[in-house]
Amino acid sequence: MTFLAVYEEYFQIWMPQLARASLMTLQLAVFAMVLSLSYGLVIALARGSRAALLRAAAVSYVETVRGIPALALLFLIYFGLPALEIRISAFWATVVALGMYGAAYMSEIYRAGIEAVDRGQTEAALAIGMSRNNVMRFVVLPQAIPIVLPPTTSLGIDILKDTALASIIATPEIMHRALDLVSQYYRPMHIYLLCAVLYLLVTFPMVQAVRALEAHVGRGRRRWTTL
Amino acid sequence: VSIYVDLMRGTPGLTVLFIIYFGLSEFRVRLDPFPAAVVGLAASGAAYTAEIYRAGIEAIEHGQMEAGLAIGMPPLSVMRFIVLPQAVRVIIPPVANFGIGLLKYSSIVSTIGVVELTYTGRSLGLNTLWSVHFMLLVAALYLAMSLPLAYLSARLELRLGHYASRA
Repeated sequence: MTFLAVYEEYFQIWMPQLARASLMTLQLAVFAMVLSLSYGLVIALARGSRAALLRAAAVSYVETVRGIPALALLFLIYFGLPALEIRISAFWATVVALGMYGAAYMSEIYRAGIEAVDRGQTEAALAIGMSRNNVMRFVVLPQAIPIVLPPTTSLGIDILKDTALASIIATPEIMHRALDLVSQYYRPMHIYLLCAVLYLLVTFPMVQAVRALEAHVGRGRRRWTTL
Repeated sequence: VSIYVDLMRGTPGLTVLFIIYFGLSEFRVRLDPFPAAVVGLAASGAAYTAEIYRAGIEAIEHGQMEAGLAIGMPPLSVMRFIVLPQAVRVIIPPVANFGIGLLKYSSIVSTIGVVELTYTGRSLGLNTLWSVHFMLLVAALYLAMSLPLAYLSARLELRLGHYASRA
C-alpha cells in the first residue's frame, strides 16, 4: 500500500477520533491559559509591590518554576499530591501544572510590559494626585497591554503545545488518542503526522497573529519616536 | 526555511519526537531512543534558534551593512566581519536562555524510554511508592542545573549590555 493510500483507507476512521481528542486539547489549553493570565498578573503585581516579603515570595516562585521542566511539575502534581491525600484528575492536574508553569512566564511578560511604559507616565499620574492603584489600573496597564499582547500569544502557542505532555498521564487529548490508534493500526508515521497537522491548524494562525501584532506594535513605537 | 520554522514552532516537541522515533519504524528505520531524542530535540530547537539568529542580525543597524558594501566588501565578508561579530552580542543572552529551556525540555524524551533524570525518578517512584519524594528530588536536581545557568546568563547579559551601551 502506498503512503497516501493508507490515508484514503483510514482517514475516515482516524479523523473523527483525533478531532474529538483535539477538543480536549483545546479545553486544556484554554483553562491553563486563563489560569496563567490571572495568576501571572497576581505574581507580577506582587513582584512590583512595596512589601519585601511579597516580592521575595514572587521572585522565588518564578525562579523555581522556571527552573524545572513542565513534565516534572506535572508528575509532582499528578503522582505527588495523592500522597498528601489530595486526589486530582489527570485533566485538572494538567491544567494546574501548565497554569502554574505559564503563570511564571506570564508574570515576566507582564513585568516587561509594565517596565516598558515610560516612568514619566507613573510620575505624572502620581503628581496629579492619583492613588498608586489607580495609576496602575488606568495609566500603566492600558499602555502595557499592546506591548504584552505578542509575547502572550506566543505563550499561548507554547501552552497549547505543552498540553501534549498530558498524554503521558493518560488525559484523552490528541497525543494520547494517537497512541491508542497507533497500537491498534500500527501506522505511527501516518497517525503522528496527522497529529502534527491538527496542532498546526490551531497554532499556525496564532503564529501569524503574533507576526502581525509584532509589526503593529512596532509601528506604534516608531510613531512615538518621531513625535 | 520560513515554512520549516513555522511548522516546527507550531508542532509540539513530543509530536516531532514521536514522528521520528515511532514514525520512522513504519519504514523499517530503527533508531535507538537516544539518537532519536537528540535528533527530535535538535529539529524542533533549531527552529527557535533560527528565529533568535534572525532577530540578532536584524538588530544590527542597516547602515553598517550598507557602509561595508559601499567600501567595496563582498556581501559575504560584510556578513562575516561586520554584521555577525556585532550580532553575536545580541544573540548570546537569548541563546543561553534557550539552552536552559532545552535542558528542561529534554525531560520529554523520558517518554520514549531514554533513561534520563525524569525517567529514572519516575521509575524509582513507581518501584518504591515514594513518588513525591523522588519527584521533588528530580525537581531539585533540575533546579541545581538550571539556576547556575540562569545566573551565568544573567551576568553575561549584564556584561554584554555594557558593551552595547558603550558602542
